[in-house]
Amino acid sequence: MSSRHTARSAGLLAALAATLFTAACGSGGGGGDATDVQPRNGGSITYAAEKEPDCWDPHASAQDVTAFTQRPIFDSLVYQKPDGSLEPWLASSWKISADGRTYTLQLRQDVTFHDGARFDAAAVKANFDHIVAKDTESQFAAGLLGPYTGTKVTGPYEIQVSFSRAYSPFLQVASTTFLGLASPASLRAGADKLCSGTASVGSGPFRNGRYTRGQQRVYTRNAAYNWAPKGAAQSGPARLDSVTIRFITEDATRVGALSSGQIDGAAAIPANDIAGVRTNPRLTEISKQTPGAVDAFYLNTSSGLFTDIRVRKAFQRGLDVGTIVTSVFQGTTERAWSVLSPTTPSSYDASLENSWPYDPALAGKLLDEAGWTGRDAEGYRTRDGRRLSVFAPIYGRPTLFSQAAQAELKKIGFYLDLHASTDATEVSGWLDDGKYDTVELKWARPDGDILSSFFLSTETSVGGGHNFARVADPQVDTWLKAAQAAQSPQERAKQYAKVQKWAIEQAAVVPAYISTATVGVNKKVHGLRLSIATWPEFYGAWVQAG
Amino acid sequence: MRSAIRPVVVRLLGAVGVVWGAVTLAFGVLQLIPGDPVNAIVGTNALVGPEQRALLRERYDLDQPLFTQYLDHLGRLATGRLGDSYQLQQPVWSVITDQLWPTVELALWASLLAVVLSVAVTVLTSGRSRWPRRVSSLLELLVVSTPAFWLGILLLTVFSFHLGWLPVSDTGDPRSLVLPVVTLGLPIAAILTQVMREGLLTALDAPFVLTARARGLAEHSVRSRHALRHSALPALTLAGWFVGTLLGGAVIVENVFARPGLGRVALQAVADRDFPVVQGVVALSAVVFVVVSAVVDVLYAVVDPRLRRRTGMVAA
Repeated sequence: MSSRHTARSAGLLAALAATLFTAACGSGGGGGDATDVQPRNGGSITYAAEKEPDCWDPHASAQDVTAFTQRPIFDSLVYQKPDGSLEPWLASSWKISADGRTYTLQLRQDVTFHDGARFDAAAVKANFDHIVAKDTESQFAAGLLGPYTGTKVTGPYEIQVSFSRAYSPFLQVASTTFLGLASPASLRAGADKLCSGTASVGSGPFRNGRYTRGQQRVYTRNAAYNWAPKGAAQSGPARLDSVTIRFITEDATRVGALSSGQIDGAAAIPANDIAGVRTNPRLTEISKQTPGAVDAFYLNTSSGLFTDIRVRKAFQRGLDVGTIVTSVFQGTTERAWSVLSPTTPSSYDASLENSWPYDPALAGKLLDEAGWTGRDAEGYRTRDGRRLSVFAPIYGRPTLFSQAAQAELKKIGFYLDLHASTDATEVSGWLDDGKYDTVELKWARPDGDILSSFFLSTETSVGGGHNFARVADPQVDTWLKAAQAAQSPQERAKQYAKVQKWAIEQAAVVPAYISTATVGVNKKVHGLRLSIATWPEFYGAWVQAG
Repeated sequence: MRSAIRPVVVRLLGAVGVVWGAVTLAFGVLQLIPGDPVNAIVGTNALVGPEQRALLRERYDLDQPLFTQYLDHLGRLATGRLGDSYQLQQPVWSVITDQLWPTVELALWASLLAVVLSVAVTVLTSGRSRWPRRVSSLLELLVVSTPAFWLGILLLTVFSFHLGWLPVSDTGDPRSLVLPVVTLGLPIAAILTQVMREGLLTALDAPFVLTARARGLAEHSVRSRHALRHSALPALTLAGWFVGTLLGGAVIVENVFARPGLGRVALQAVADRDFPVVQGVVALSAVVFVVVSAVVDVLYAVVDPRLRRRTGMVAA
């Protein structure tokens, strides 16, 4: 089953369909001027996601789509607003011990789960115990808890969460759906029930409705809901009676269903369809830059070609990132200057912008100094008869962007060897053994602590970390640990800025582009906003009558 | 009595052999993937430490020697247990049974469409004047050479997105079944028509048709009651191919039309390296093939009187 084939044909078809049906478009604008429409209760919307969760238990699953699809059902202790700031949700307040190792949280006393059970300290403890339990086989949530040692119930509505060392990312981590709070009774149902997606019992604004695997899941309003965080778009029960998330994996089908008005919103609009959504009179697009680590080339600093900083610098400055990003994404995506995305809360170092512009002359000079002075028949640089070849393993198939980078790098004499493999185990073997020169990837997470999993010397690929630049610098470790231990966001931002600057100066990484989530929405839907994790929040949404 | 049982036993043993072969191949192919299967289970997105990896290895018996794993696998299959899915965390059996009906529904309607359409077109375009046959042949060629996903997206674009006649994905609305059934059934109908028309044209030249006409039978009766039976034989032989196309086509159709079903589960399982689900689907497909070929053997006898004992006729 070749998905490449499908994608290519879909593109071809889209082009064909555009010429065939231009005359048919533009009818039925509807909507009109939507600004005077009053919010109303009731109604329902259908939203198409591009992927369906394998396992629906956010405590076990590592999938983003699980976190998104379970957000309406599960509340968290802490809420992270779309701008990244944290505020109380089911925890009404918290205190952090002086050594940063213990969090004491006061809980709201007016919260009930969908099954009628009361939310209290014991319920929170049951959830944390479930996350770290061996049987849960948590692929992500347990990892997010980092140096977690345990939870203690210190009062009916008070808990104490402890860590073996200072761990400041905890509050942000606690705001994710992965640490969402389920009714303790539902947690005892067993992994297969929890994963099936039919037995999710939380305290959120929507309840679990009918679910048909491979097709759709329905959410119904929780009329008792009255514990939304202050920063939410709404208070009290949700306005919508129900929400349906449909799983439409094929891009052409999802976009077609949206533009023909059969669904009200669609995720992951491909770059070449965004223009069509913009010009369609009944649609609008909402987009947001994904926080976390941007798409970047991590250069293997510990073995092979890139142990020489001159060659790393040449790669960094000789790649015309700006031009490729503009041509590949047609203006829908910005180039990156730092390894972090600007939307990552209190950690982005804006001073890096324009600090390392494209400079082919410098790149050429550095390569000459490093001894890569020869040229082979195809125009690539050589040294002692060996080609300046950069081995880049790729899981799946090379993106348009990687291919453009390959063509661009040829100009300064680099051969970017894009080694595509659909075999996850083969690729992870190369990564674990450090048998590569560069890895290109991005990683969404609304916290600067993502830098730890990319640059902390202990976060090797073998142990499940992402230190693909194979950095082992005691100074970097100190900065990252200091950031994890720091209490104030300013202090953390200062440490993270040092790491970002270091990564660029050492040319351990070549940031490429800031991926941007784009959601297409029918204009009759109002109040739909993207969360910090760039998923739509259905809670505040409402739909125009008629 | 004994002579009646023996072919049945041979047949059954053969069936078991085919299923065993398919299951063994599926097991073997999945073992050819180099590296650690635990990495495949965990996926590339996870935050999972070495201890938990070790735990997974034990839980799925991946620490056992290959041959032991294979025997365990066969043992489980023989007792009807298909194991648990790595990714879905559900018993494979319930994953498959939950997803079976949408695919069966799709396949049945597509088969019905293919058979009705091909019989109708065959009878209408054989013999007589040449141009209906030429037009039909051209259309058949077009349909057969169009990739299924392309046909599906084309139909969707025209009838759903632009004309708005049919909804895109199933919401309990029977109209949403129309386009997937057409996408799946049309290419099969085209092949069947070509095979059956060839057979019908040959049969219409045969002496028994002349006899039938000489008895004063009407043309439609000659065609549908006598000649068509002959043309149905080669078409029946295609049944194995037919089932394969239905299963393979379901993967594409279910994904393009965002329908639930086995094909969709199978594709996702392959993408996520969910071995137990892949092996379960392979085992099920093998069983379906065996059952279908047994049914076809019976059908031969129904269609061709020479294969029936009591008729006293001898097969040529």
